[in-house]
Amino acid sequence: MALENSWIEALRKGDERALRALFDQYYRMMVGDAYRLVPDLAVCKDLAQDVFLELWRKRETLDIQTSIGAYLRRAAVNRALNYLKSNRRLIFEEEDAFPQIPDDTAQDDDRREAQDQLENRLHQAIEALPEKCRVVFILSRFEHLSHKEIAEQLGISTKTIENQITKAMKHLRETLMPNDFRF
Amino acid sequence: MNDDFIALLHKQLAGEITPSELGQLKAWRRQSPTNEQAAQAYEAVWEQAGHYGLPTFLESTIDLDADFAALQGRLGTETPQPMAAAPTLTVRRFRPALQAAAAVALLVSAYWGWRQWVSPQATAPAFVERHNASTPKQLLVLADGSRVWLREGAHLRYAPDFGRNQTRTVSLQGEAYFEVAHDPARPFRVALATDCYVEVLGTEFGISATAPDAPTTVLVRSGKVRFVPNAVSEAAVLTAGKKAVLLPNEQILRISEPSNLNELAWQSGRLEFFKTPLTQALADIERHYGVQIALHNPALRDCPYTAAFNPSTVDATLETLASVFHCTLEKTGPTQFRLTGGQCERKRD
Repeated sequence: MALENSWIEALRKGDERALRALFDQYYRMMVGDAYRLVPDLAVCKDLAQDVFLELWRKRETLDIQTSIGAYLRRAAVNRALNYLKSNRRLIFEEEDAFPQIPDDTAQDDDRREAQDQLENRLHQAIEALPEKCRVVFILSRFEHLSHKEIAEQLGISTKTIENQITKAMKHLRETLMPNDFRF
Repeated sequence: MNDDFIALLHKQLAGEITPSELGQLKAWRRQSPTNEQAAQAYEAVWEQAGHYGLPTFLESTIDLDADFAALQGRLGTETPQPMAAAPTLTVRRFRPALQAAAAVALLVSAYWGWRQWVSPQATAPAFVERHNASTPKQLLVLADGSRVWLREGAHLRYAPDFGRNQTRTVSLQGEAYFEVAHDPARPFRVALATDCYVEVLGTEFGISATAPDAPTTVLVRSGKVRFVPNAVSEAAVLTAGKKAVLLPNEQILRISEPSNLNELAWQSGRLEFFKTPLTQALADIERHYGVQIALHNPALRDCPYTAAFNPSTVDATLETLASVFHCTLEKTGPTQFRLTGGQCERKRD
């Protein structure tokens, strides 16, 4: 913490090394956080860089209540949510159908080779969730937001949050644990 | 399973459940083995979903230098003058330095030697000594921008400004991981004992020097280092992926090329396996988490295992492994696990 505070002090004074130190420490994590919401690496890199740009522009008036890491990561998540909203993806429409998962047996051989099996299965399962359902689940699972906070973020009711989470949990159980599913 | 109970279970997992809801959930779980089984399945789903994130193969394509350069392009004319307090490290010098930075893990065994050798000067005010007594890893940033992670129990001693010497010298006892800022004019040296040191030729590395009779290990993640074992033996130059071990009472370095860098997992939090025989993967997991794992099915011993774990728990890591090989995982003690049954993965057609 003391070390991070010294980075922030240096940043306020306009020391670009501090920006680089924070970048080295948190950029990958921020890209990863954003990726859970927007599974597109190029977009997520831009979003994470936007956060650093903003941090640099506001460096003299920075007022960070939490740790700098928590601040940066939350900023990346907020930008990913805004990206989803501004691109008018389906998030707020009441769609309930699961999208068709493309049969990728013939394609993406490289991707398959490079990726371990668990990762593959988990990605397919989570990315097959309808967008609203996925976003609600991710915010609950990874961002540790309460039902109420998620509802406020997305402008939907807490009851909808509960329904979407239940739907996500059932779908994930079916796809991740097919042998065990008995209901 | 009744949807209401899935919602309750989720509230519990998310830490949002009220005491009365928790009572309802517990009663429901006790009602039948089927309910209990379903609840456990959802708990496992929640746990497993925790591994979701940027896929490994994409994460490895992120180039910090290139992406920071892109960001700098966008900072544009706002780039200020370097701080007056650090006149020798201008932004201009700093950038190439970081591009050339590298990492080495060092594990050093010369404990008593280090003590005796360091203590006569230990009271000199020009030196500081950092000791990581209680956390799994502690990050220090040195005056030149080099970063050092000390593993629990490690000591690092250095002059904060490197004493204006030609060589940047730090003394290590214990295990540490270094990302060294490149500066060809001032070599970076990790002193391990009298006449024993590792000199960085621009690199990232780890060193372990833990107990008097333990071997001294140097593992290079990127770049290049020179390992000088003592005054008489021949020094070795180690490049990325190479590991050198100096056994106590031996003069010669043993150099090998490990198949993974899991010995650095304490620093990165990352365990990785690529077609690793299962017994070896289990040994890495045992060492990383300090647990014992009994593998009961001999047919699995040599099964190849491929997986990558970002910082995780031993329970989650073993559950994943067990699910790949269809084993039964039991926790037989606080740090004891048992794997039974199972079969090697079927090959993909």
